[in-house]
Formats: sequence, structure tokens, C-alpha cells
Amino acid sequence: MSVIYGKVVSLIISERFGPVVEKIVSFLFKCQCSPLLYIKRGTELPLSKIKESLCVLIKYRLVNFKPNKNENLANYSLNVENVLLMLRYPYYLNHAKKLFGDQSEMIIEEVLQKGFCSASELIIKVFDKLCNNEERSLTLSQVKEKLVYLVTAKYLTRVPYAKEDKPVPLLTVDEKELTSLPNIDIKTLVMHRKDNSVELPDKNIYWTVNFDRFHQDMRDKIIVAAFNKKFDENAGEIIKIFLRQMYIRTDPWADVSNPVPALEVKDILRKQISASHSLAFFDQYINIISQETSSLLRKAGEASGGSYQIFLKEAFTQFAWELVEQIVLEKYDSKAARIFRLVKLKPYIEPDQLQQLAMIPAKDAKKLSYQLYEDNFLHIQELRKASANNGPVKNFTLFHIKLESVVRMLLETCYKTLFNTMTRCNHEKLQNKRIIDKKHRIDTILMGMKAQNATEEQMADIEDMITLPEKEILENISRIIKKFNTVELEIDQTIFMLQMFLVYQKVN
Amino acid sequence: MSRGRGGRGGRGGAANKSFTRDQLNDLGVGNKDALPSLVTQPPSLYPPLERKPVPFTPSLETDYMLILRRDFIDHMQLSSSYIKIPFASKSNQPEQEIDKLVAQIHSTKEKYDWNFFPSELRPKLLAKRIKKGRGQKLDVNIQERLNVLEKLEHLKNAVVIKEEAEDELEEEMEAEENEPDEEMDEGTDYANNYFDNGENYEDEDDNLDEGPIY
Repeated sequence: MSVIYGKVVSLIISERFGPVVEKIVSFLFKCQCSPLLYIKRGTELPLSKIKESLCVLIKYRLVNFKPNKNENLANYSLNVENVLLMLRYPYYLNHAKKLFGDQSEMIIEEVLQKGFCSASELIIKVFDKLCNNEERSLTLSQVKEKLVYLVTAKYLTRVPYAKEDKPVPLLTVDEKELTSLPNIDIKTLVMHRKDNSVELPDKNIYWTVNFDRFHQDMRDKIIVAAFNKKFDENAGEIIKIFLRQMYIRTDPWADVSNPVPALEVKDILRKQISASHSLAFFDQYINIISQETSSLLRKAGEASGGSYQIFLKEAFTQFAWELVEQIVLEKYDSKAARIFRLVKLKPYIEPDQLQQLAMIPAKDAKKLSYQLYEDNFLHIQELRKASANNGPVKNFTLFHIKLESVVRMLLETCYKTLFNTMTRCNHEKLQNKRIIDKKHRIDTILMGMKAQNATEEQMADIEDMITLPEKEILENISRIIKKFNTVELEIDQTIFMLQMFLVYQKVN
Repeated sequence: MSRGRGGRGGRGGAANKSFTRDQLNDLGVGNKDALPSLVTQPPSLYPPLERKPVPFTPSLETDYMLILRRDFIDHMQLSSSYIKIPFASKSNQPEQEIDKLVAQIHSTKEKYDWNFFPSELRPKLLAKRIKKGRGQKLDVNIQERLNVLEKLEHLKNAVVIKEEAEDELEEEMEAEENEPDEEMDEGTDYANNYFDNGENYEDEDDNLDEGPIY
């Protein structure tokens, strides 16, 4: 956790929750774990605001609390990872939309917006929203079905709750309860909609988004995309089925899956109508994939037409290498990338040898390798030969790469980039605050006029209040802001990839 | 980070990345090459960009995600979770006052299931309780005060009682000072919270002493 990480967290929070919450979050970031009155002392905010902010933060699962020694008080600590995940919310929503359709997306959206929510409330809210949007014949039970699916597929998970009544509740949840949705009677829901006094049966059972499940999907998507790019769509499809079959036998975050029989995959392919091509060349595909350098798929046994294991950890190590190489290429150009790849290929290489093998003029090679070393992409290992009695001491200085530290360094760079783009974006907004505010005001007036059925002439009059040059500036700003926001989304994808690598490193 | 191990005294800290002559020789820096002088300045704040990054390929998907992002942030900023600075400066225009009112209406709607939060964070329940308690106290105070005043009138000459009465009067005056404030602010939620907190402050502070010290 670095200073820049804290700054990014502050920026994310202040955009979504405002300056007060931001102050508390940055204080909690600094001191990790703190009781209420220390927060008051550190932030110098009125206590009521601090309480309110802490409630909000707990609601969105950004702050955890634990009982102090004195059980009436709690120690609050920031859940930093979850703050950063807020950047990924659009991705989750898009993913839900693509996989399960609009209704599921709205369910997830509702939960993300509220932090957590009970199932009945959720169904009613989403149903109402959908009814407002489109006049389709939609029933409550349809929404319920979607919700049940999301819960059983673990995209939504039960919020830990307090079993005993204590001043500082100890929140726990059993593994069984994570996916067991209480019975929801549609009739009660209908009655509740008509008459608010009718109590909902599952008032105290809350659900929240299970980010881990989404990450699992994102991981699979990356793997499939890699095979799509390297071979073709069919190879990607085969890998997809392998991954799906893997879950039947293996824990989703295991380094290596249990063997998956190829016949099983073939059977599934046979049921798909569009897969005639990949079925015809199934054996060849499997052969090529298992011989590929990333060695994601390896043969585990010959029985029943061969079974294969999926090496997820190695796949992500490979991806991390590719990513780092790509970054070196973009940052220092192709000659440096060649040197980097050479050090990767021959771990512990002598500088002289490096200069010869890289086929780059010695002077350039030196310069580039020093540059890579200076920016922490290369590392130096010194070897000293045990000195003989009176001979000269021979030293070897060798280049090598510590991938994990390179990845961590790149993660820092990503955070820094995030910080820079966000700061710049805020700066742009501040610079043009007057015009943006004006636009907002005029938009609001127009909305109001529309509601009152104003004539088009009147509307046009109001619209003309934004002059042409102002319009140009506005367009310019929105283009810049869009660019910055895109960077935010894209950087987050890189962060995900790097974090995935570190997750797999950590398992052991 | 590798370190210059062969360095003479003082050299070789992890932060010190300079090499010894031997290492430099190994790396291919000959004796003749002039070593660059020490850099004592911090790196420039905006270093020149050596290469231009590749532009993004726009896609419908990113556009949609941008909309989702915008929607989410708009929702958060309008929701009660977006907490504004409590004491805005007085120079605010009435327009913004309205904004504040709107925000307050929202926040009153906010309901938490307090089973999921530490009880020390509950504002309103406590405030109500304390308010009730105070109300009773006030009645007593008024009666007592009347008595005291009566006594004062009747026994002007009795010094002892007068002193007592004065003491009590002082206490009463203090109470009086607090009272009008409370009544004035009763209309808003915020003020109630504030008072309640003032009351609790000492209790909690006591408890804190037992807690861990950072």
C-alpha cells in the first residue's frame, strides 16, 4: 500500500460519496484501524457526520468493523480492495447484461447502488423500474426467477448477519446459507405493493454482489480470448467447455484442475449445432492446444481417449509475461523489448553475452539494458566466486528478471496512471465549471418546460442561450472527459490481469 | 534490489544503487568512460513523453460501460450517501440552499437495519431517548427555580440561604443558556444529533482510555 494508492482511493470515494466521506476514508487509510473518537480527533468533523459517513461506508462494504476490547465500541478499518473495485462496477453490469439479459443487469445494478438489499424488496424495485421503462407484459415471478438464478449461480451472496444481540454485532454467515434463498411468496409481494403495511417475510435477509464470482468469469474470459487470438474461435470454444467442465471437479481457484476427459468435451460439442468444424478437427485442435507454449492444457492420462488438466496458474504467469513484454515494447521500443525477452529466455545472463546475442550495437544494448535496470524491469544478481588463496577474486554480474516484483512495480504504475487521469479529469471539470453548470441549468429548465408542454419555439429560445463557441467548448470537454473515463476502465483491466497473477502467486 | 556489496564503508544500502568499479566493469562500463555526475535534483514533475500511446479503439461496449459508469456516479451523487460538508459558508446563494434542503429530505428517508451496525453509530434513537429525559428535567427545574425565587424574595436578609440560592441560580442560568439553543434547533435533525453527541462524548471518551492506543 503506497501513498499513491491512498490518493487513488480518496479520489474514487470523493467522486462517489462526497468530501466528508473522503476525509474519513483517507484518515482510515492512514491509520488502518481506528475507533470512532480517534476518527473524530483525526478528521475534526462533527460526530454526527462521521457516524453518518461510517454507516454509508459500512453499507457499501467499504469499511469493516470489529469489537474493541471494550465491547461497546468498535474499531473501523477500510476495505481498500473494495474501494478499487468500484471502478469495475460498469464491467460487472455489462457482463451480467451479456450473460443473462437486461433484467439480471438491473438486479445487479440495484444491489450495487444500494450496497445490500433483501430479495423481496429487490424484486419489487426492479419490477417497478422495468414497468416504468417499457410496457411489456412482465410478471413478478419472472424477475424472481432471474434473482433465484443469480443466487444459485453465486453472483449474489448472503450478507453476513449478527446471531447475537451485541452492541457491536459480530457478522457471520454459514456456508450453506450463502446460496439458500428464502421462500418468496409472489402473493405477499403483490399485496405489499398495494399496501405497504403488509410485512415482507424476508425483511432481515440481505443479499449483496459476490465480486469473486464475477472475477472468476473475467478470468475465464481472458483465457478464452487468448486462445481466440492465438488460434481461432473454435479453439476458444473448446477451451471454454474445458473450463466449464473443470468446475464440476475442481475448486474454481485451484492452481491446477483435476483431469477432464476429452470425450466429455467432445460430447458437449456434438450437441452444439454450430460446432461441426471444431468437432471434425477435434483431435487436431486438442493436439495443437496442448503443444502450445503457454501450456495451459496438458495431457494427464491416456485412458478413455485422453484426459487433460488445465494449468491456470501457469497460464496467468504466461499472461503476465506477455503483458510486461508488451509494456516494455510500448515504453522503450522494440530493441529494448528484444533485450527483455532475451533475459527472460536465458535467466541470469552476463551483460557481454547479452550484447552479443541481442544483435544490437553494443553501445545501444548497454544503454537500453541500463535503462531497463534503472526502471526496475531488469534486476542484477551478483555472483562471487569463492576466492582461491591468492588468485584474483572473480565476480560475475548477471542480469535477470524477478517477475513478481516487476508486476508489483507495474501495479504501482497503474495506480499512478489512474491518479493522474482522475486528477486531470477533475482539473478539466473545475476549469470549465461555469460552462458545465450553465449547461446543467439549461438542461433542467428544458426538462421542466417539456413537462409543461412548452412550444418548440420557446424551447429553442432557451436552447439558444448556449452560444456556438460555448457549444464547441462543451463538446471538447465531454470528449476529453470521455477519454479519461475510458482510460479508467482500460487501466482497471490491466490491474485485474496483474492482480490475477499475484493471486495465483499467493496461493502457495 | 541488488546492492553493491563490495563497496567501501557506507556503501551498499538497499537504497544506494551505485555500483563498484568491478561491477561496472562487468556491466561493460570501461575505465575510460566518464561516469555521469551525481544527480541531486528531484526528477521533473512533468517528464517529457517519449512515445505517444496507441489510441483506444472505440467500441460499443466501452461506450455502454461509460454510460453505466456515468449513471452509477450520478445515482451516488444524488443519493443520500453523498454527504456534503455540514457548515457551508454563509455566502451561499439561495439556489444552493434549495439543494441542501433536497439533500436533507433524502437523508431523512435513509433507513438502516441497525442489527448490522455497531450501536454507537445509531443517531436518532439515542437522540430521542435523551430528549425525553431532558424534557422531564426541565419541568423540575422550572418548579425548583420558582421556589428559589420565592425564597429569595421572602428571605432577603438570610445570608446563608441567599448564598445557596445563588449557587442554584447559577446552575439554573447555565441550564437556561442551553435551553433556547435546543428549542431553536429542534426543527432539524442535524441539531438533535449534535446535542446527543455532546452528551455521549464524555462517556465514550472514558471507554476509549481502556481501548488500545495507537
